[in-house]
Amino acid sequence: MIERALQLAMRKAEGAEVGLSRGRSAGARYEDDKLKGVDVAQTASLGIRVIVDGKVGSAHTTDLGDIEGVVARAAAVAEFGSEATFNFPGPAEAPEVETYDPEVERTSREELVETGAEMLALVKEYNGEIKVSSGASWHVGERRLINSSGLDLSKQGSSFDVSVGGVLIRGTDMLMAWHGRQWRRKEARAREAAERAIEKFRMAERTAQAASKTMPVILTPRGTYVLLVSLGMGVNGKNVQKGDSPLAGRMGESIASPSLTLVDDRTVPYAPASGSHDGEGVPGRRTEIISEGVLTSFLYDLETAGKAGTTSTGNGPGCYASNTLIVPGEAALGEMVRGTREGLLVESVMGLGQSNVMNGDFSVNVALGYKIENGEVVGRVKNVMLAGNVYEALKAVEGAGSEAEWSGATCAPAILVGALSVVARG
Amino acid sequence: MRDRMAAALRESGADYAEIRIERAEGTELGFRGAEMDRVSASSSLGGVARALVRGGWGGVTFNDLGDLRSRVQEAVACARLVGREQTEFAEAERVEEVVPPPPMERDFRGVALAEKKRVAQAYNDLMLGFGPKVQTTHVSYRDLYRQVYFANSEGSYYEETRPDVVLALGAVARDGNLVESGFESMGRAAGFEVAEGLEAKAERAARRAVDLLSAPPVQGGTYTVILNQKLGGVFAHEAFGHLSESDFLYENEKMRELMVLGKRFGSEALNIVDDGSLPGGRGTHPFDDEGVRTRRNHLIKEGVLVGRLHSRETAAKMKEAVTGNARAVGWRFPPIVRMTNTYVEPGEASFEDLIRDVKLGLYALDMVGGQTMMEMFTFSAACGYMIRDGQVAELVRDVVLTGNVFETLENIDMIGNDLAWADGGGGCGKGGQMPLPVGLGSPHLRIQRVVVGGKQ
Repeated sequence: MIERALQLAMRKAEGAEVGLSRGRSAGARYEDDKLKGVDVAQTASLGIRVIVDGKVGSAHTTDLGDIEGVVARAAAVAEFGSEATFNFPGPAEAPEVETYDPEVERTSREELVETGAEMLALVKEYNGEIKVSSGASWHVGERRLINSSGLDLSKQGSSFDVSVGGVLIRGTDMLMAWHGRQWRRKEARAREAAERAIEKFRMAERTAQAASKTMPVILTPRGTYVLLVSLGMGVNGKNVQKGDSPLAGRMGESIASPSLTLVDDRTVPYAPASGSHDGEGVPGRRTEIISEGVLTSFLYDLETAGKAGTTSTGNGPGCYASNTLIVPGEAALGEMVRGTREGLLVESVMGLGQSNVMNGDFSVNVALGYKIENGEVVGRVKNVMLAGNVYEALKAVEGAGSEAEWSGATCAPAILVGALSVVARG
Repeated sequence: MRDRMAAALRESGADYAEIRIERAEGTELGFRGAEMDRVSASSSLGGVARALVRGGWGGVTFNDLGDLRSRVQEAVACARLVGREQTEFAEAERVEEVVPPPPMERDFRGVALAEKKRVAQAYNDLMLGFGPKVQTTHVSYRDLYRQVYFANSEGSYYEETRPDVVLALGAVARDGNLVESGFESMGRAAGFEVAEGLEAKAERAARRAVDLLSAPPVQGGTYTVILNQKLGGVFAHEAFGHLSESDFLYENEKMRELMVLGKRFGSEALNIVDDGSLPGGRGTHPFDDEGVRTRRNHLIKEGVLVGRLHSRETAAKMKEAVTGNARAVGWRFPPIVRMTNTYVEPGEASFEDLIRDVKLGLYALDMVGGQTMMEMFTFSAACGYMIRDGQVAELVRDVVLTGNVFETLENIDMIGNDLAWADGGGGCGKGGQMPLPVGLGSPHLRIQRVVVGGKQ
């Protein structure tokens, strides 16, 4: 079927690429202390890109009975597409990256139900008042990508996810905390996820007041997304090319504290965004984006690299990051807290993306964060906002923690930002 | 389709089962700066079967329609792993209807891509040419023609056509290191005609981006705030509406205590309604995705909590009537409890009445986004004007409002007489399902003691 789509496309096109994905998944979910559902899925989709008269067109379908239609739509769209500044890549040397674990699909629905129950019971054991939600699920898929330059890639991928959390209500106060783990290999992480979620509830048992002022803020490994969302947009080669990124024209400059090194790495075995190739068939690689504070690379896909006169960094299509890694530093999180006289420890925020994210501005409510006084976490803060600019905050980073932790496709340690503006309800 | 679906559901062994199949086709194009940098055409076909056995749900998502009966059987097998008690599922009227498509003066499926490009490009050029400070623009046009086929084990069947046209217009202005943006959008269940004639919106987006460059950031603090209609609508939806979704409530006694019917939430002037049957609303459908007819539901009446939003399951478990609020964003998902068109009913006050005695306050306009985590909310206004001595004064930027919804509802002390609906093309997200088209409406609202974030 996929070969036929390529043949059909090449009747009109100078170049073409066809990708066919098939996936299966199963999951059990618990909500409010109860098993709510077991869901399975079997889906497939086909995407095609063509170059016709020097222009690119694409189309996508989940109706595999409509190959002629999807090819025709891609060709029709190409008339209005952007100029093709690239050729589809042929076969090339690529790293071997493990992305598939056969154990994942062997996990029965019954076992998923049991895993969810185990996590739920652990949190209930800590505090029966918490309304607990949990879930265990897996996804496996095959993808084949072929193009008119002779590329023919087939790969299998798997993912095993557990998550657990809950809500604790006291009066009109509601506390939500959760922990999850997504990995391409099946690992026994249920107990760990529950323990991490419990730890967050435990730290929030007491509440504390924060004053409105500028203070040091420690972002937990998960809290670093406050910085990484804007930064991901800033290093996206397309945003740079369009001049939208504040990092445009600043290659080689110091944009962050020397304690910060940021890496995009598709080659980490079993990590969520890993693969031997990106979505365009370009070999995956490790790219240092920020080296000890100095901007060293942007992320490119085929089209953007073609326009910029450079080569793809294997971040196609779209110039999006694969796995994002912040290189750990020296201090353990506990030491960072002990070294803080007055500050915040921030696990999650809400409202990110509502300010000018591209510019790096943020003004966010702290959803789960803790007050630090005289080197100790004294309780959870409520009704507190953090405001600032990511690019200013990067320069104010005073250290990266020694223990990096995966959250989705990000692996980061805690980050200490020397000074951020904290606004409390007065 | 109807016969095949009905046959697959017959004698399934479940207490309840349903199939929803969707076929969709659409186009999408986008400008970024002077160039069109995105254009694609997509089609999809897929379905979801759900079964309820002894109170437990099983679901199967698929896009090969070959053997519907085995899909239903697999959903039943999944549900058997879950069900451990009695099924409670509210009665619903048996429906049978082929809903005619909403009026489309110009069916967008027949409009050439060249014309879609031309219309979007004209708005893009207008914004780019607005002034030298406009650095870049983002314009996107998207249309989707969605056909939904629904059947359940009780013999209900409907077919509905859901066209959707969305146009989003964004301008970015720069002055040195300062970057500001303006954004307008339009989303309607209609034909291509609604994408035309939006020049005023394009100009407004560009003007706002440029004007904000010379506006100072708002000083963080606690203010009397007047929300304009668009922002009032977001507040009603985000801060309050989500707490009315009964899937958050029905097995959580403490949440139920917080949201107990009869409890006073605000002044007598406060009325909040969700109405999925409202003609022409962005969240309007004759039936929800469980086949329940939509209707008008008061959530707050004269300041008192009087109702909430239900699926058939939550209605049965809370022993309340169905409301028609089980909605799914597409065939990959089961329906969950969602809002439709949510609005604050108009009061008596004119804008002049609201502002007259405010010595120092903030007039917050439009939305960039909104989010809640239980009782806490954060929402970003596109911009604001300071209010000084009862007058609208200077423009300010970076206006982010935050607080506790229960306190904030209580602090609404005046309600305008000027209800208006946001005609934006955005949508609501919940449980990984987004964007779901919803209607947002409100008059001007005045709220005391709102925390406004900003740099100090």
